[in-house]
Amino acid sequence: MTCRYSTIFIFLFVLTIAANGQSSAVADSLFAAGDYTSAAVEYERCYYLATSRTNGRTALENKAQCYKRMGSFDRAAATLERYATTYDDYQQLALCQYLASDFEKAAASIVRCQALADTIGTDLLLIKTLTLNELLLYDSALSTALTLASQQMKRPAFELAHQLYTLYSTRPQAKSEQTARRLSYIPGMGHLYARQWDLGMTAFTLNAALLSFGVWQVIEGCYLTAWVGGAGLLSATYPGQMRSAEAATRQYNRQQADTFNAKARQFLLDTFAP
Amino acid sequence: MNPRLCLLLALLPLCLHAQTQPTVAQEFDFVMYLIGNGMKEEALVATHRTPLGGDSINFLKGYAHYSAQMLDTASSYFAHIAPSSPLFSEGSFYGTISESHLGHYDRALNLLHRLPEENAQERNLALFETAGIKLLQRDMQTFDSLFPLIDTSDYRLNAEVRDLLHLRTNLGSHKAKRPWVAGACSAVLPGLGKVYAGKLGEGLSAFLITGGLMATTAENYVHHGATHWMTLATGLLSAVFYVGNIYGSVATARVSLNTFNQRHDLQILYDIHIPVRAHYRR
Repeated sequence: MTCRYSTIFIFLFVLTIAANGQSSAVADSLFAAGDYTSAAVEYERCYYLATSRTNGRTALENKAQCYKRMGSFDRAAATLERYATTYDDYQQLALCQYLASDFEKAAASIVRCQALADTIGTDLLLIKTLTLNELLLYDSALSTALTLASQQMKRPAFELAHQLYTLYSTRPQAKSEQTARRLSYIPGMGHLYARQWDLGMTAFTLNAALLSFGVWQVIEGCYLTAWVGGAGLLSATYPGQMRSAEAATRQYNRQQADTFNAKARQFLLDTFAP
Repeated sequence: MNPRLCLLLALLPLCLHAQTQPTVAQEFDFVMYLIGNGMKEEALVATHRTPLGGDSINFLKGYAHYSAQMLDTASSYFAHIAPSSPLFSEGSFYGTISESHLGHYDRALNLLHRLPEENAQERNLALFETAGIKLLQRDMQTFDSLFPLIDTSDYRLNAEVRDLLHLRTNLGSHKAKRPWVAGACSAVLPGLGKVYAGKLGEGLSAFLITGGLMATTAENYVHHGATHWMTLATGLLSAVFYVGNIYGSVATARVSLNTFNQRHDLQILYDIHIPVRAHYRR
């Protein structure tokens, strides 16, 4: 009797293992063939059928890998979020979130990562520096980059620190949108502050022309024409150029930050990437 | 060696091969799991990849496309379910909703007419859906004749039945703004057509701009004469704004009517969709 039950148990056990193994093999072959979309679905099936936490975790890891290969980092991050528990998981998650341009979430994952370890490695420090740059927190980014430099063995720390100080000394100083608005009381000045020369000249010329037209019509005794053609149009263009100056300043700040971040990213990756 | 054990071992490779292909039930559960967890694109990929066929798979494909808002394809899959299938009624209801969303009301009604008569709850649901579609078609007379036949004691229909009746009252009492009246009003007094169409702010703004330009033309005419360039320029601008305002008023009245209809259609579609999901617990 015992022998019979043992045989049936072994038979069913082999079938279960085979079922999981087969779906995993299908997913692996699709992955190897470069069909990452289908492979991701089959790995999800492996997770769905998984009989243990380890198998489920492996399936999700592979699924996240598929999305990374597809360049779909937001989906990779969403998959990683489902199983992330360790330092390495959160580091991967932060990287995917950074690559998906979800910088706030990347910063949150870095904090969780730091909470899981006493010391943090160079990879995470590098991701953290890049993320802080994108969040325009340049002082914190420099401080993190200096920690990263102190962990480097290839080059002397003081030399790297000097290069980092030189790099971050060129970081963009954000221009104030409020100042741009205040300067725009004289039409065009706000645009000049945001280095938008052509828009500044246009705003000044247009508003000056409308004001002059209004004054000319008053002198001519055509008060209605002055009101409609001068004041009426000026009431639209004057506040409009103020808002435009604010937008131009915002755009200028973003452009400056993007340029610096690209330069910093290149330097940091060349220097610290494994 | 035990002959039973020998048989078992001989069957093992066969069973292993069978295990490589998921069954229809397994595929069904897996795709529903994907949809339930918001992985709609994955569900579509899974249904495209499956080598299985039959009514359950047609329903599954239809439901995956329906969840991904690909209603045209969903509808064609739902239409392929055979009447003998246990999923026929459910597929017909989801097909009805898909066709209603696509504006194919007659096709939606045809799907409802195919339903079997045996199940009282499904018959009541079909009656409710038919009434909803009639309201979408603005066939108030048929709606009024069907509505009293709906069994409102069914808790799954209760809220939506009330809502449908409320929408019927709104549609019945709504006085549509006529575009030509709006245009005529604006021709008499700039901006009045927009006020008639329910846009008070736009009407006042149009009145001030067009009126201001006309007053400017008059002033220039008095000061400089009819042939002065300022008179001609302001006159031309006034004419452009005057005609533009008439056209704008006609368009506003049309848009106002369309917006009203669209808002009500969306609410009706929502109301006929909820009881189907509640009935089949999807």
